[in-house]
Amino acid sequence: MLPAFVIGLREGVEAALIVGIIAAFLRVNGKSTMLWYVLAGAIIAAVLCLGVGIGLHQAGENLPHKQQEQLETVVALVAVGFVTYMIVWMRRHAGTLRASLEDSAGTALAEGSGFALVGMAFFAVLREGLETAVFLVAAFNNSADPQATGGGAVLGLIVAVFIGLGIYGGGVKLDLSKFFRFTGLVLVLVAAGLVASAAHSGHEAGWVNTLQEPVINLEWLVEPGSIVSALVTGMFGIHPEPTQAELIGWALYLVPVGLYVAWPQRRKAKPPASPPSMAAGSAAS
Amino acid sequence: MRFFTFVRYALIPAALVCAVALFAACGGDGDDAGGDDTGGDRQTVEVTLVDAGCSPADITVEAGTVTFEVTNDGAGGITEFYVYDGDRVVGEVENVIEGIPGDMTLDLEPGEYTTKCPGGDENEEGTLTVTEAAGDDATPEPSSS
Repeated sequence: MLPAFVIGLREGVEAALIVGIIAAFLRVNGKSTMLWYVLAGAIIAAVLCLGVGIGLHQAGENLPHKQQEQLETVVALVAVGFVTYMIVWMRRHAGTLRASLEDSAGTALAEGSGFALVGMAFFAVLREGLETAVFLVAAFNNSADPQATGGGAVLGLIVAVFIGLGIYGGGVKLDLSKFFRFTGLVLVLVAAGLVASAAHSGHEAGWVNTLQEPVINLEWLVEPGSIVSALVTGMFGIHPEPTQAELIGWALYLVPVGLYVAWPQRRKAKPPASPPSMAAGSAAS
Repeated sequence: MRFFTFVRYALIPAALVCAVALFAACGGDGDDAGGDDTGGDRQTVEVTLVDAGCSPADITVEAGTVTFEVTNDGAGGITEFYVYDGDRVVGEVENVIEGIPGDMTLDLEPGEYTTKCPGGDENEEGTLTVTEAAGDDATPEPSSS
């Protein structure tokens, strides 16, 4: 039961993390009405995946692994672009939007365009869902003890959904400037992890075929098969034995973007006495 | 520099790419893992994931279509089985835990390959030797040495 739980949790957390961040971002930016579409997109993707999983099982086929890893890699890279733009957007607006979020931020987001984020949520679930659905179907049909194994996997997914809800709820509770600042730093780690994940799945997809020597052994941190490893790998893309390609990708993203976020807001040599709105205005221009 | 301007122009092509990739994943025959029953001498190799890693660590098969049936014998930290050609992944089976087997079918050319069961101890890596196929009247024989 535990191994199935860990796999369900890991796959679920990867998707729930992205969906939770998108939902919190939309909510904080005054797009609460879009939340239903996010939910619908995630559910449609999940149902679609389950259908594919059941269909493949009926046909006695395997999920074509290479293509599935390619899909994972592409979606991970698109998600990196998204999360990066959220980071940049938040930083630029951290000063100007600190008062009331609902009205001021709402104007910054074009009406209806949030559907793109809904699409991202859909693909985030699709990315992890195909593999998970195949695993779930196997757990219920092929395993020696379907109830314990299947139940473990489902339980892992349920916990992942609650983690996604927690990310959403936690993001919503913070006030806007805290949300931007704190979430910005967390998002840098998340996006760097997505880069590492893309390097990992890109390797399995047959796209990244160099720099595959393991650099360090992190099994003390993410002991394979443990619940901690499911969470750390799922959220931050840290694998037990990261390869050179994964580590380089991770650092190449983390260092510049991390510095960008951590750098003090005022870049021009302004007198420190200037009011915060002015300083923020100059940073945003 | 509006967020959604970026979103609109970046996501739509990206979504198309994803959709294409998805259809490739769903509709494709799986050129490397189709598992069609055509072709004469299919070989089957049973691989077990144990705490040490891959068991057996060293496998010899004949060139052609080879199915790897992977089971997990209670190795909690190992859930994947890979076949490598140098640094390139030829095939993989994921999410193999005790009670849930997995399999993959590969078309292998003669040569030296590496097997890998990440998380294993002394047998995390093994060898897969693919020999020239014997005559065309070779009988399908499971060979796992």
